[in-house]
Amino acid sequence: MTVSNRLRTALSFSGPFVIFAALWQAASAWLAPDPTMFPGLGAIAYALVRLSAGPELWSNLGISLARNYLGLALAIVAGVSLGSCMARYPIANGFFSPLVGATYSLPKTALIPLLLLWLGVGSTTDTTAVFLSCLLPIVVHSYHGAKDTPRVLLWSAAALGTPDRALLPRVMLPSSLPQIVTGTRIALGFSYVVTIAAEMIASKSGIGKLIFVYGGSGAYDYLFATILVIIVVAYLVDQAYVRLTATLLRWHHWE
Amino acid sequence: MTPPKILISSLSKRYGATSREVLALEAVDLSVSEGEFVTIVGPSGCGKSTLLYILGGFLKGTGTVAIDGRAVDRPGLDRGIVFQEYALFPWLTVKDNIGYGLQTQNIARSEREDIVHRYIELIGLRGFEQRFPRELSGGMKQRVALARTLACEPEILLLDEPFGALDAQTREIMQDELLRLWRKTRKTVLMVTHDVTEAVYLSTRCASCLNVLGALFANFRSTSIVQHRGKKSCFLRHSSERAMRSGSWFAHKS
Amino acid sequence: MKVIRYVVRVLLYFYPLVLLAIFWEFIARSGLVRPLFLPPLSALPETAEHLYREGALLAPLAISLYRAFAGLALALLIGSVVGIAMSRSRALRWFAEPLVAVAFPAPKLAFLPVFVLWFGLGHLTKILLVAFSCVFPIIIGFYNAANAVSPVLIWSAQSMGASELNILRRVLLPACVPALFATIRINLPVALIITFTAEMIVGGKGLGDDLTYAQRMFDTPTVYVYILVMLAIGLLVDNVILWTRRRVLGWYEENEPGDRV
Repeated sequence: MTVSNRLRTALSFSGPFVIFAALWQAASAWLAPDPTMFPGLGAIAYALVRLSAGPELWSNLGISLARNYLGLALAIVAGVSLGSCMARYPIANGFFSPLVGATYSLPKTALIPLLLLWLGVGSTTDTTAVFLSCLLPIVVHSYHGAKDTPRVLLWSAAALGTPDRALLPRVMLPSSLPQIVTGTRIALGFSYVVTIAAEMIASKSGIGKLIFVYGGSGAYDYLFATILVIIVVAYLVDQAYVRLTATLLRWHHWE
Repeated sequence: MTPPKILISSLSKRYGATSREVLALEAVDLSVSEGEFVTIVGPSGCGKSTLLYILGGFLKGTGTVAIDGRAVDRPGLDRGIVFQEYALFPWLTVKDNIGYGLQTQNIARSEREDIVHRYIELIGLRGFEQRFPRELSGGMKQRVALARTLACEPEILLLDEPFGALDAQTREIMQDELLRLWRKTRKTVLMVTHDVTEAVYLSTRCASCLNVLGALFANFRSTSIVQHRGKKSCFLRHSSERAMRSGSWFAHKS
Repeated sequence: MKVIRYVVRVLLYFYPLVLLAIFWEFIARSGLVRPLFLPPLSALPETAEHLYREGALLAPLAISLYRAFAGLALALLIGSVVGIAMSRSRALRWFAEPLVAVAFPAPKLAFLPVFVLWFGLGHLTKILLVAFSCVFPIIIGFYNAANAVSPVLIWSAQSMGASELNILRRVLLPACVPALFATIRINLPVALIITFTAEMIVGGKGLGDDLTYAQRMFDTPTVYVYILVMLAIGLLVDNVILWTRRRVLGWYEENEPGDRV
C-alpha cells in the first residue's frame, strides 16, 4: 500500500472517533452542569498526561497484564492438550466431556469468591481465575479442531510411516491450529473481564483495583483516562494477536 | 508357487450397529500379481473404496487380506495411498509434503533433499517447492500427492479415484502421467474409479462391481491400445466395455 | 424397568461427575480439608432448603435473571437494528465499523464504576452494563448474517420493485433468524456473567451480591449452593435455547463450538 493510501485508511478509520469525541465534548458541556460526572476531553487528556508521567498507572497495568497473560498461557497449554487428547482418545473424551459440559454454563467469575476463600487475596487468585475461565473455550475449540481433522490426512500420515502415538502432535495439532487460534482469541477477550472482576472484588493491586479506587474516590477524570488506556491496550493486543497468528496460519485455506 | 502380491479372500465388511447394519462388502475375492495395474470399477456406494481402505489397513473386515502372504492389519509404508481429495498436509510446503514419509523413516536431511528434488523434477513442479497446497491447482496437488506416496517407494500403490476431482483435460494429462510413472517403476497398482474408460485405458486388468452390495465379479482383460487419428482410444474385444456399462457381462480370458 | 435402565445409562455417561461427587464427599468428611474450604456435598441440599425457606434463594435469583434478560433484550434490540442497517448503509458502516472494532476486544466491565457514577447501585446500572457488553458481538453477528444474504436475492427483490422496508422484512430478517439464536446462545452466558459479576463488585441485591456477602461471612456452604444455582441456571437456559431452536429451525444443522462436546 502506498503512503497516501495508508494515510487515507488511517484518516478514514479515525474519522468516527473524532466525531465520537466531538459528541462526547458536546454532551459534557451540555448534560452535566457538574463537570466531574462527565469530564470533558481536556480534563481527561490532562489526567492522562499526569498518569503517564507517574508509576501508578503503568505498574498496576503491568501487574494486571502479567497475571492475565500468565493465566491465559497456562490455559492454552492445558486447554490444547486436554482438548486434543479428548478428540484422539475416546476414554479421555468419556471422562472429561461430562465435566466440560457441566461447567460450561458456569459463570467463571462466580468462582472468584471461592478462590478468595481458598487462596486468599493476591496474584494467585487472579491468575487462577483467569486460568479457569480461559480453559473452557480453548478446550472446546481444540477438541473440535482436532475432531475435524480430515480422516484422509490421518490415514495418509499413517500410510507414510507415522506411528500411532505421533498422529496427535504431527497431524491433529497442526490441522486444528485455525480453531485453536480462534478459541484463544475468544479466551483473550474474556481474560480481561475476569482479571478486572477479580481485582475489583478483592485485590491489593492491579488496573481493576485502580479504576475501582478512582471511581470510589471521585477522581473521575483519572477514571476515564484509565479506562481509555485499557481500551487502547486491549485493542492493540488483539490486533497484534491477529497479525501474528496470520503468519502462523498463512497456509490455511479460508473458506 | 509364489503367493500373489495381493490376495483377498472372502472379505466382508459391515458398518453400523446390529440393528441398522450396512453391508459394504460380501465375500469378495480378488488376487493381484506383482506388477499388475488393476482397476476396480463401479458406481458410487458399491464398496470399492471400502475394499481399498481395508487393503490399506485403515479399516478392518472379516476374511483374508494378505500381502505377500502376510496378513494386513494396519497401515504401512509398503502400501502407498492416494486419495481423491489429495490429502496433502495443508500446513506443509510442497517440498515438506513430498519429504514427509522420508522424514518419518529418519532418512538423513541431505539424502532426503535429493530424493525430494528428484521427484519434484519428475512431476514437473520445479519452482513450486516452497508453495503451500492452497496455492496449487487440482492437478498440481494430485501430482504432489503422487510424488509424496512414490517417494517412499511402496511396493503397492493404492489409488482411490485419484482424478475424480479434476476437470476432463487435466484428468487425461494425469492419466498419461500415471501410466508413465507406472511403466518406469513397475509397481503393483490397485486403482478405484467410477470412470470405465479410464479404467480400461490404464489397467492391465479390470474388476467390476456391479451389484450394489459390492460383490466383485469376473475380471476383464483389456486389449491393445489403438492409436486412432492421433487420439488414443481403447477397444475391448467382444464389446466387454459396453457389457460392463450395461451391467451384463461375461468373463473373457485371452 | 426401562426407567431404571435409563437412569443407569445416564449415570454411566456422567460417571466422572458421580466419581467427583463421591470423591468430594469423601474428602470433606475425612477431615483432610477444613469444612471452611470444602463442606460435605451432602450438607448442601440442607443449606439450599434453608436458603429457600428464608427467601434468600429465589428472590435474588429472580432479580439477577431480570437484569440479565432485560440487558440482553436491550442489546438485541439495538444490536440487530444497527447490524442489519450497517449491511445496507455505507455511511453507517463507515461510522460504526471502527467504533465496534475497537470496542469489541475491550473489557466492558471496566466501565462499571462509570455506570455506577451515572446510574447508581441498582437495577439500571446492571441492565445497561449488560446491554453495553453484549451489543457489540450482537451487532457483528447480525451484520455478518445480513451480509451473508446473497446479493442476488436482494437484487432480485429490488428489480421486482420491493421497497427498502420490504427487502428488510422478507429477505434480510428471515435470513437473520439463525443468527438470532446463535447470538442469544453466545451472549446469554455473557449477560449472566456480567450481571453476577457486577452484583459481586458493587452489591445492590441479586445473587452475586449475596454470594459475596456469604463469602465475607465465611458461610461456605451458602457460597457453594449459590455457585451451583448459577451453574444450574446456565445449563437450564442453554438447554431451553437449544430446544427452542430445534422447534423453530428444525432443519438447521449447524454445530457450533459450544455444542455438547
